[in-house]
Amino acid sequence: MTNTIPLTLVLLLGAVLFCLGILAVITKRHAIVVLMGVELIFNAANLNLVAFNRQQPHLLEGQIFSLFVMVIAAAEAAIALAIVLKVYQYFQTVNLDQINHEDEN
Amino acid sequence: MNIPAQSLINSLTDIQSGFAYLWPEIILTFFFLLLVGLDLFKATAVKIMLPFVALAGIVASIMVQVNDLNNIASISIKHFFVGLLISDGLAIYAGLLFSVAGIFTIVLSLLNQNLKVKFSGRGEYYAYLLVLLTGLNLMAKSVNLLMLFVAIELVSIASYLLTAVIKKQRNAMESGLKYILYGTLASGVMLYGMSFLYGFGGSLNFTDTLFWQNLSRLSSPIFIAVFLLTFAGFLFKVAAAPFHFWTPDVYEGAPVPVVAFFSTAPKIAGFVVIIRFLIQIRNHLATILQDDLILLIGGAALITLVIGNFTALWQRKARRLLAYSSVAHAGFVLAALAALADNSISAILFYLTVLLFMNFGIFLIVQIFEDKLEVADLNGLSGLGKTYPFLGILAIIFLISLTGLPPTAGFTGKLLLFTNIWQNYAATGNSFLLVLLLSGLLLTGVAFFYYIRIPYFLFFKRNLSEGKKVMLLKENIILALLAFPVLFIFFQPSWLTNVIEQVVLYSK
Repeated sequence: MTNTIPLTLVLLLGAVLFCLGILAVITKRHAIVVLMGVELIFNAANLNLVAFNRQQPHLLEGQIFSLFVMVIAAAEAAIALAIVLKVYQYFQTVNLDQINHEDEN
Repeated sequence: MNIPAQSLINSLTDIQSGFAYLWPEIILTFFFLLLVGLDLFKATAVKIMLPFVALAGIVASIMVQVNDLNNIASISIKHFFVGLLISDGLAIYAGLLFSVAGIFTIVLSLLNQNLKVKFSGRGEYYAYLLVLLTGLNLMAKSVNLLMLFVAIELVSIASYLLTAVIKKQRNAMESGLKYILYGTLASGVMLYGMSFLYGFGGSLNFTDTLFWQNLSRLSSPIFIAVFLLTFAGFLFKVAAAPFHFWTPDVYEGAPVPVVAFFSTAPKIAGFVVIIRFLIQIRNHLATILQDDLILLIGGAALITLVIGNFTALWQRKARRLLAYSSVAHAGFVLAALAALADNSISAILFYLTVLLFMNFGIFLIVQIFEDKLEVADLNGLSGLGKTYPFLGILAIIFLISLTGLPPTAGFTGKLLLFTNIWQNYAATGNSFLLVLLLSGLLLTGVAFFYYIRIPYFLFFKRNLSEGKKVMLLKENIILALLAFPVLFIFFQPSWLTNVIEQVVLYSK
């Protein structure tokens, strides 16, 4: 294994994914696109976990962790989509700005 | 026998012996499955039984937890399940608080008219509650990043479901969507932080000495960034600024019993996790990194205190006011945590215990106002204290306790917190702690103004509505039961502090 990609490059890719995710969450107003942004963040973390696992190849802790994350993210997405569906039935829109009612902070 | 087989047998026996410390979770999971099964029956007789089945499950787990608390010396401190979980005083005591909160939630749900009318699938509501309790128990016991993540997600997913459980209600859907979007974002950021903790620490077990030795080699800015990311998830759970945006919306939309639960149990679990991290940081890291962390957590505490207390001043709805009050309470606890001292733990546990009783008390009163009298605004409370004196007086007791004035347990709790911060300031000379102490004291004064508005409306304004509705005896009895500890602990604090001393002694 001489030609492996250096760890820093993988971490950099993870950081880019993370930033893109945050950007999507902040700028997009469509509920499902926001959820996609959050999925990007989860994937950035997964990439990190798998990459860091290379430091201790015999333990596999990071890889197992990323498997757990995938399952949990799927469960969370299922519930989020169910709620989005209910919101759509009620409001006829999933635009976050239009769902907001009188906000008195 | 070859070595891999031997190590496998060792792990299996370890897992088997671990079940002895997992009884509350096993019982709760069993009753969860039972509820899901029973919910399939359509007979009304079965449907009516469901809350009591859930209640039986929580009572069974409380019995185990009380037994554990009595035998605390023999039970703690033990790692089990191949180092994923720990059984210690902190976890057992927190578990007991979760179960008490669970019982109060079911009692409040049984009294709630809104839930009864609008909610057809009653079984699933109580089933989610049991899953939530299981998750909280696991959260308090986790010493492994993977276990912690799974437990936090279990809590979060059950919380999203409970928030949006009443269909066909505008607020509930809206707050459910906001909660899940903020919530998944917070857990994503936390997970990203955890991935770096794993990478730099070289282990998932955060009670490992090696883990912290590896981390202490990091340069200060990277270390702070990693912890900021990880703590985002924890601060979200305790509703601390700048991760508090979900609180007012969720508190407005979710059913009152669920809100009362959110304002106590997940907060306690979040603080237990933060305490576990901070104890390790204090024991293993260099002072220079510790000072950075004091600034980080103290800064979060300061922002939380200011935002919580000042925003509460402008609220016109009882629920939103209590949401910001709950943010403010998280700030007070964080301020005590910022000192990173071992002796803060008992003061914090005392404060959180008291918070449990007063929050459920004030939310039961809010529920009665909303259900019976259809009042959600503070204006609507005008003169109601004169019509319903018992309700009014108990509201005053809970609000005085929330403010932190004598003769209530809230005063004792705040006194313990503030003396603790002062002691740590005297010991370390860190002037930031003095800033925290002074702002805490000043903001308690601010808190007095927004809490006092409720009794002001109740007693000093003219009554707007005609007629009087009958209050149920059971509601009054439960209110009195909740008010009793709030007063009793003020006169007999040793009753609670003795238990907590014992608990802290056997905590890791």
